[in-house]
Amino acid sequence: MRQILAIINKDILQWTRRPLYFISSILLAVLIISLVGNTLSGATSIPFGVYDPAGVSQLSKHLADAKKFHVTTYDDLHKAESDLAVGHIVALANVSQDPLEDSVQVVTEGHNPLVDDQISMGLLNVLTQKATELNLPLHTAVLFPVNFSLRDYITPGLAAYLCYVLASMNLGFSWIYEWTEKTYRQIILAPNGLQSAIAAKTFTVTVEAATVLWIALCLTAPTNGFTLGHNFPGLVGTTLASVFAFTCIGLAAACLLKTIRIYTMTVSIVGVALMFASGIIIPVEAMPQWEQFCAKALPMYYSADAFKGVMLGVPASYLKDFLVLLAWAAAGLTFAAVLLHKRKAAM
Amino acid sequence: MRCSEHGAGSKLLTQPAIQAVKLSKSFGKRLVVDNLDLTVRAGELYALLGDNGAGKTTTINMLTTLLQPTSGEFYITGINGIKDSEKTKGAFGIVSQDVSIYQELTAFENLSFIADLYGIASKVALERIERLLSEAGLTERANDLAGSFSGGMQRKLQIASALLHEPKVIFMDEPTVGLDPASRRQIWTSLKRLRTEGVTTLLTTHYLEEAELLADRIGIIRAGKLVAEGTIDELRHKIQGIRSIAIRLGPEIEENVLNEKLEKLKKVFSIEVKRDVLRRTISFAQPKDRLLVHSMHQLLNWLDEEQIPFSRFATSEPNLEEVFLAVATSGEGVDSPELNESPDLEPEYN
Repeated sequence: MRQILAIINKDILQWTRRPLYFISSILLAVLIISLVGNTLSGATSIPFGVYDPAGVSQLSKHLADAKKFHVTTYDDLHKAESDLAVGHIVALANVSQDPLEDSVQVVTEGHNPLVDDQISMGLLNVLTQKATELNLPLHTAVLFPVNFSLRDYITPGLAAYLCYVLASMNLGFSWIYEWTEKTYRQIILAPNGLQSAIAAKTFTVTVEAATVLWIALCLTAPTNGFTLGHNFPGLVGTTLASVFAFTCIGLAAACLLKTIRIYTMTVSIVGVALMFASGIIIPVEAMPQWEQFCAKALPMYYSADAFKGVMLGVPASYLKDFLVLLAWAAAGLTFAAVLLHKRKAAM
Repeated sequence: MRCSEHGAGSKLLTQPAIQAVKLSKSFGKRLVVDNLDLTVRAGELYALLGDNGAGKTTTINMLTTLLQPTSGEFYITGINGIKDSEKTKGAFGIVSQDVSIYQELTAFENLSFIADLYGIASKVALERIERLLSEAGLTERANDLAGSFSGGMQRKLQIASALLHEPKVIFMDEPTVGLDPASRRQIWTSLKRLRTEGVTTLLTTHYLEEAELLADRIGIIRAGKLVAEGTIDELRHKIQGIRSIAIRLGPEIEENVLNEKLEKLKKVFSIEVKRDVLRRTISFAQPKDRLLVHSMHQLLNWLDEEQIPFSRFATSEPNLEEVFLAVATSGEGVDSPELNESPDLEPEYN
C-alpha cells in the first residue's frame, strides 16, 4: 500500500509541476465542448430570403421567431433569386401570391446538401410548431416531451469523447514518459513494483483526467448554455467509470505502441473514428447496419449513453453501460499487465 | 568459490555475491549471451569489459531480473534469481547507463520516493537520505529540482538512489559515460568508498583505465562469452609476460663507439632499438617469438662482453588496453597457446 501511495504522490507531484500541460488539457477540453458542440448544434442565423410581398403567409415572422434564420424579405423575385445564386442567402421561400393556391416553394442553391439539411430542420421546426398559425393541415405530437436543446443533447456525447481523450493523454504522460526517461526501471526493480505501478497509475490517471473534464464542463456550461443536469453523483460515477475504462484500454495501447509519437498519433486517429462511430454525433439508428454493430461493441457508445442519462434525465441502460465499461477495462488491464511483465527490459 | 546448495540454512559463509551458471540469452536465432559462468565474490569490485554488442548490458539485464534468461541460472547473495526474482530485488541496486531520475522532483523527493518504494521506515530513510546527499555533495541542492542538475550531479543522485536501501550488490552499467573528467573522478571516489564499505559491485565500462584503476578483478566478454578473467596482473602475465626493457647506459663510452656497437646489436639480436640520447637509454620491444626475460638476460650479457657500461634497467608490463585488444580482437581466449607461444632462440652470433 505504501508503494502505491508513493507512486500516486509522485505522479501527482509531477502533474502539478507541469502547469503548461495542465492548462493545455483544460483548454483542449473547453475547445472541444465549445467549438464542436456549437458547430454540431447548428447555426442560429442562416440567411434566408422570403418572397411574400403581400404577407399572405406570415412565414417571415415565424422564421425569424425560430431564432434559426436571419430573414430578408424581398419584393422583387429576380433580386431574391440573384442573391441566392451569389450566396447572400442560402434559401428562398417563394410564397405563392395566388389567393387560391396555398403553396410555398423553397429554393436552395443546391451545391451543399448539409445546408439543405440545416434548412430542412429549421423549416420543419417552424412548420411543426406553428402549423396552425400558418393555416396548414399539419399536426405534430411528441411521445416524451423533453425540455433540452440540441446543444444540450450533444454535450454528453462530447463528455464521453473527452473521457477518452483526457485519459489517453494523461496515460501517455504517466507511462510512456517513464519509459522514455528510463525512470520506469526504478519502480519495477523494487519488490512488487510493477503491480503497485499498475494500480497507482491507473488511479492517478483516472483522477487527473476526471478533474480536468469537470473543470472544463463547469467553465463551459454557463458560457455555452448547456445543462449539466441534477444528478451530480451519477455524473461523478459515469465520469470515473468512463475514464477508468479508457485508461485501462489506453495502457494496453501504450504497451503495444511504446513511443509517445506513435501513441499520440494513433490515439488521435482512433479518437476521430470513435467520435463518429459511437453515436455521439450521428445517432446510431441513423447509421448503416454494420456501423451500428461496431458502435455497440465500442465503450464510447455506452459511456455516451450513461452521460446522456445523468445529464439529460433520458432513459439509459446504466447497468449494461457500466458492465460493458468494466469489461473493457478488465480486458485492457489484463493485456497490459501481461505485456508489461514480458517486456520489462524493453520498456 | 561456488554455492553448492541453496536450501534454507545451507548457505556457505563465503558464498559469492553474484553467480551466473551457464547463463544464456537468445533473441530469436541470435545468441547474445552464451553459457556465461561468472562469479563475483562478496565485497569485490568486478569490471566487465567488452566491445559494443558483446553482451554486457544483456548480462546485467538478466542478473537484475529485467530479462528472462533462455537457459541457465543465477544467484544474487545466494537467492535464485529465476525462481525467487521478487526476493532478489531487495538485495541489489542498479545504476543504469541512462540517467534515470525524476526531473520534476527535487533531489530529496527523488530519494524519498525510492525510500517509499522499498518500504524504508521514515526516520531511517531521512537519516540515509541526509547521509547519501552529503556523500554525494548534494546537501545544499537537496531542495532543487533534479532537472536543474549537471550530468555529473544527476549521476551522483542516481547512485545515491541505488544505495538508499543499502543493497549488498550494486550493478553499474557504464556509470561514467558522457561525463567530464572531474565528474568521472568523483564517481570513481564513490566507487572506491563502496568497496571499502564491503558492497559488491559489478561494473561494465568501456574505459579501460577505469577498470584498471578500480577493479579487483576484470572479466572480458566477447560475443557473449567470458574469454578472460582475473586480476590485472594475472591478465597481463597471461599475455607473454613483460613487454619491453629500457637500459640506462653509462657516460664512459664515446659516442661514435656507442653508435657502432648499437648497430651491431641490432644485427645480432634482430631487434629494433630505440635510443634516447638525452637520458642515455636504449629500449626495445619484446620480440614476438621470444620471451622478453630471456632476451633481456642475453642482451645484458652481450653488453658486458662488448664492454658497454650500463647502470640500470627496467621492464614494463602490458597495460590493460593491450590485454583487451589482444583478447577482444583475436579469435582466442587469454590462455590460448597462440597468444603465449615463446620458443627460446639463441642470438645469431658467434
